[in-house]
Amino acid sequence: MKDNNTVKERVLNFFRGEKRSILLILSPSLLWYMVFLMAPLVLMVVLSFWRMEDVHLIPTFVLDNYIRFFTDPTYSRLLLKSIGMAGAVTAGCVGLGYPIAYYLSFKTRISKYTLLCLLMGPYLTSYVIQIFAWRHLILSYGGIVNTLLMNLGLIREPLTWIMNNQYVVIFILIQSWTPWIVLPMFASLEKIDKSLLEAAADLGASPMQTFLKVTLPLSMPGVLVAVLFVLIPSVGEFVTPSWVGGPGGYMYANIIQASFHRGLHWPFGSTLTIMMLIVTLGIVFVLLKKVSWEQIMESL
Amino acid sequence: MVSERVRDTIFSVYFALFMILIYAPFVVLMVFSFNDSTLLTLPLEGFTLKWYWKFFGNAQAFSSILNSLLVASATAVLAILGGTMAAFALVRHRFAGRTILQWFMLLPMILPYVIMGIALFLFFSIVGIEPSLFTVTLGHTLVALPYVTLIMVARLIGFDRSLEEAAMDLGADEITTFRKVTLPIIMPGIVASAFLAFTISFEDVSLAYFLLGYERTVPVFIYGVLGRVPKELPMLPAMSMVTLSIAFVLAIISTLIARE
Repeated sequence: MKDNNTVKERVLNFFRGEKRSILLILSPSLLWYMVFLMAPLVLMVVLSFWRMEDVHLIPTFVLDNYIRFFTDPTYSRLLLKSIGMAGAVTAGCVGLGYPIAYYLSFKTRISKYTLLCLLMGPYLTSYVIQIFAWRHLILSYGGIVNTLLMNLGLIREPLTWIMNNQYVVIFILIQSWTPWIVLPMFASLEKIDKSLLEAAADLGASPMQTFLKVTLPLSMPGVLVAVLFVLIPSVGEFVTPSWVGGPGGYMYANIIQASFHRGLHWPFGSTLTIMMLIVTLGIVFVLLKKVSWEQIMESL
Repeated sequence: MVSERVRDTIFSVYFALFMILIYAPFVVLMVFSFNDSTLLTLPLEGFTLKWYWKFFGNAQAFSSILNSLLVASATAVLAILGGTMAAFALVRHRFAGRTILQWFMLLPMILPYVIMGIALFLFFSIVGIEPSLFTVTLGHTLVALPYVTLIMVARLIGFDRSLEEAAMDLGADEITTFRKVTLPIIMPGIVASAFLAFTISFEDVSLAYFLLGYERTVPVFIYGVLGRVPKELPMLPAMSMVTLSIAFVLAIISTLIARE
């Protein structure tokens, strides 16, 4: 008979119980989610009911911060404006990215995966680097765009409206996010059974009809994942607007950032963050009704 | 009617223009990193390597690269351990609450970084943990976990379990089976996850901004220089190029490992 009492055997026997092993292999990530996601979020909710006296946090339960949010229209207006900007970014990204995904899936004769890797190249580093290039080298007062236009004799004075407004923020976000959301759309285009397209053509559909009636509807789940991947982070964007947005391009997350770093008003900052959390979760729930978990998995 | 050929050409041209747009900032940065002038404007003044020397001689800038590498490596290791284990539970076991758990695990991938950044900032401040590279690693691991879990679930779904059973039938215990059968099969997934988790951490500014103390990572360093220290601006193109080269080399290494 085999000796069952060695330490190794005992340890293995412990893991052989299914319930125990599920709990055990789930515990590291669950612990992480509980301590570094749920606990901080709960703490933030608690803090949003506290008060500040000078520079001191007063633990209490008051609605002051929420009253301030709802009575001063500046905040909700800025939140709406940020959602609008994020919507514009999303529309731009999907509009520019869909043809790219379509090209990669149906048209290219070069290796799709080489082109995909090339497309992902910019994500090797932070988009802060791209923002720096746009702000200080390309769109600045003495930057490349102005120099070129002046040398061509098209303008006499450097253009200043090409920087520090919300449209630049939207443009830079579009160019930095689009490659990333090509992935989910590409994944769902790849899954389309090509014989369906041939069938449509055999039945006399023009390429345009085939696209509108077959390809586009079948790739909709990928488009929705793409929307999810760009809309949510854009709503919470504060880096791009703080360096290329100017006063007109400020977004909601900039006042959150300010209330923690300059204003030092943590309870009100928490309230601002929670309002954004509610809006984000609302968007997520609407989108996720139409998207399966597997769809998200295949998008990576 | 436009012919098939014309349409294909339009698509190719569009793709090429798009690539130019997304790579333009990097080309411009590369050119200016060698430009012998303190002004970041045209015309170019001639070739120099001085910005690269300046960068290597700037203790804060140079150490930010080491900090980034450290945080990103630690993030990759932690996220792979947690994410792979969770993926095994999700794919191989059926248990109550599995579907809810699956969606719950996507949360850090779906929430804006600024929300998690603020929440973690408050949490660490109130618990009394000083902001440092360590706190950033904890935060980055949180956002990398869903990505690793998703990649590993995808890998495990296609896993033929009869291979493991065969090994066990032949007398191997669980540990040997894991080492000799399971691990080699899931290895490509682990390499891909490692690369993705590393990159998520390496390029992040939004979360790190709220969690860093005195020592900074590359993106946060650049973010800071953009705002306050114009003296260090001319060095940034060179610094960007060094960062990009490091990430590029790592990308190639991980592709090569994944191929094997």
